[in-house]
Amino acid sequence: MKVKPKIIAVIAAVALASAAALYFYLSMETPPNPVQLLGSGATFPMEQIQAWIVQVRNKHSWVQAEYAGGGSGKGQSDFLQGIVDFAASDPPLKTADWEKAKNAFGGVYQLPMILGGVAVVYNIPEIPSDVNLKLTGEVLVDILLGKIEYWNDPRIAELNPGVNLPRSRITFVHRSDSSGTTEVFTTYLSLVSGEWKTKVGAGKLVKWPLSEAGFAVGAPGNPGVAEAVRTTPYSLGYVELAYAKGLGVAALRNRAGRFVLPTADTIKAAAAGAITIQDASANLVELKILERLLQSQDPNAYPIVSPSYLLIKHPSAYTQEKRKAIAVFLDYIFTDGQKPENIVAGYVPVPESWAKLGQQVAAQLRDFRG
Amino acid sequence: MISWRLRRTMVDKVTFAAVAIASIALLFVGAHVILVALVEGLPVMAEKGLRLFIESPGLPGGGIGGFGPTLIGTIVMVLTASLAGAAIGVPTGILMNEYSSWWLSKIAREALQLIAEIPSIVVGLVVFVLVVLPMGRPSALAGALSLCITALPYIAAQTRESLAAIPMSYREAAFSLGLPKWKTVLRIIVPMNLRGIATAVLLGTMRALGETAPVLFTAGAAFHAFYGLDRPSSTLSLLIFFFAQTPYENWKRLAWAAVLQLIVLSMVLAFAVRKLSGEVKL
Repeated sequence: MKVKPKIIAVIAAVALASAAALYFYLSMETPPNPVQLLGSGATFPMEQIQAWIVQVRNKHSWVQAEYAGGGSGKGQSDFLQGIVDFAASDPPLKTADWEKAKNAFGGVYQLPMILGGVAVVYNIPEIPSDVNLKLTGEVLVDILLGKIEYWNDPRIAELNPGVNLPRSRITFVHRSDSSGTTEVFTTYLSLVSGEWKTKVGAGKLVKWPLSEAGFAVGAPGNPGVAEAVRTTPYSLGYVELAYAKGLGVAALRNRAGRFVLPTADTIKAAAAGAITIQDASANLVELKILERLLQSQDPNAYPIVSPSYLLIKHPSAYTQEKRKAIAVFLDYIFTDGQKPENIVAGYVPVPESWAKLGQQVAAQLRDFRG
Repeated sequence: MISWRLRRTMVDKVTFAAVAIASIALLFVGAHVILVALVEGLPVMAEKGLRLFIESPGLPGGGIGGFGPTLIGTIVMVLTASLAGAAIGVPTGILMNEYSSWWLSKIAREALQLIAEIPSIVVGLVVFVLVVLPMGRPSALAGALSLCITALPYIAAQTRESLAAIPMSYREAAFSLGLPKWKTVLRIIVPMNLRGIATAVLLGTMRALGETAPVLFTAGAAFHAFYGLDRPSSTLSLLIFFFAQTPYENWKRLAWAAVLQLIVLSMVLAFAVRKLSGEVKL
C-alpha cells in the first residue's frame, strides 16, 4: 500500500505530460499535405521564377513548385498538352493557341508577371569600360541592314563625340535558336524603321541581312550570344539585361530624345505607361502590349522593354488541392514577390495595375467552388 | 645504302614522335578536364562541405546552396535504369551469345544495334510521347526508362562479349557429362562469368550517369526536393545543363561542384569496372 501514492504520482505525471503534448499538438496549425506544381517555358524569367519558388517554399512549405525552363515555345506546347500546371511565355498565346487552350481548360489566364530589358551589347577594346557607346534605333537598323559597316562611321561618331572609335568592321551576333528576345528586338527595329519592317520584319527567327553578307554569326541562347560578344572583338549583339554583365552596354536614344541605359529605373519608366488589362482571360494578342511598351514616350524610358507572361488554366481545370496551391503561389508572386527585395537583379516588377490583375486571379482560384 | 638506312631511321623516329604527340595530347585533354573541374569545383566543395549534399540550390545571385535532391534523383534514376537494364540486357546478351543462330537472337541483335545508333535525344522524345504525355507529367520513372533504353545496348553487348571469351571446351565438357544446353548456360557458363556480367551492368550504369539528352524531356527539372518515383525529378547532368548557362555566379559555381561530383562518381565506377574486368574467373 505504501507504493500507491508513487504510482498515482507517476500516472498523473504521464497524464499531464500527454495532455500537454496533445494540447501542443492540437494548437499547432497542421500544415496541408504537400502539393507539387510543375511549370515550364521561357528562359528569360527563369531565374526570377526559381527565386519565387524558393521564397514561396520558405513561407508555405506545402506549396512545392518546380520550373523546368525549355523556352517559350516548349512552355506553350507543354501547357496545351496538359503536362504542366503553369507555364511562362514571353509573347502571349497566338489567337489559334489561345482558342485551343480555352476549349481544353474552359479558359486561360495570361498574367504579365515580370519586366525585363533587352540590352544592346558590344565588344570594342578601345572603349574604356566606364564609357557607354550611344546609339539610336535608326543607326542600329542601318548597321544591321549593312549600310553602316565600320565602327568609326560618321553617323556613329556623330553620336559619340570624344570617343575613340576604331576603323574595324562590325560583326553582328544574333540568336541561332528560336527566341523571344529576338522577337522583342526585331519588333523594336520594325517600329523604328519601315524599311526593316518590310525587308526583314519581326519574329522569333528572322533572316538577318548581315548573315548573307557574312558579317553575322549565330549563337544559342542568351549565354551563347553574351559569350560570343565577349570573345569576338568589334562585335555587336543583343541579350536580356541580366546577361549583359561584363560587356559594353549601349545607351539607346528613346522617343523623348534622351540616351538611356537599361537599368531597373529606366525599364520601370517605360512600364509606367503600360496599358491596363481588363480581363486576363481575354485574347491578349489583340492588345498589342509589347508594341505599346516599345513606343513609350516617357523621358526616362529605356526603349526595348518587354513583359513575360504566366499562363494559368481556368480554376475548374485544376484539382481542389492544386487550385489552392496555385492560388497561394500566384498571390505571393503578385504581392510580396513584386517587392524590390524579392526581385532578382536584372528584372523589374510589373506596374501596379498588372499586379492587381494577378491578385484578382489568385483570389478567383482561391474562392472557386466547383 | 646509307641513305636507305637513314630514311628508315627517320621514318621510324617521325612515326614514333607522331604517336607520342597524339597520346600526350589525349592525356593532356583528359588531365585538363579533370584539372579544370578540380580547380573550379574543389573550392565550392571545401566551402560548403557536407551541406552541398543536403541543401537545394540557393536563390539566383544569392548563396550556393547544394544539390542534395538532385543527387537523390540521380541515384534513384540511375539505379532504377541499371537494374531494369540488367534485367533485360543480361538475358539478351546471354541469348545473343549462347543461342546465336536462333532467329530471335538475330532479331535482338538488330534491335539493339538500332537502339545504339539512335541519338539519345530521340529516345527522350519517344519516352516523352509514350510515357510523359499519358502520365500527365514528367517523372523520375520516365527519366529512368529513357536512361535504361540508352544503357541497354551497352549492357547486352558487353555481356555477350564477356561470354564469348569463355573457351568452347567448357561447354563441350558440360555437354559430355550429359547436361542439357540450358543447364550448361545457367549453371556453368553464367556463374563462371559473374564478373563479366557485373562489368557489363556497371558500364551501363556509367552510360546512364553521364547522359543528359534522354532526361531532358522526361525527368522534369525538380531541383528543390525529391518527390518520389512518379514525380518530376532531376539528375546531376541536368543540373549542370541548366545552371551552367545562367549569368549568376553562385549557380555557375554550383554547376562546377556538380561537375566534380559527376566526375568522381564516374571515376569510382570506372575503377570498379577495371577491378572487375581484370580477367574471367575460370
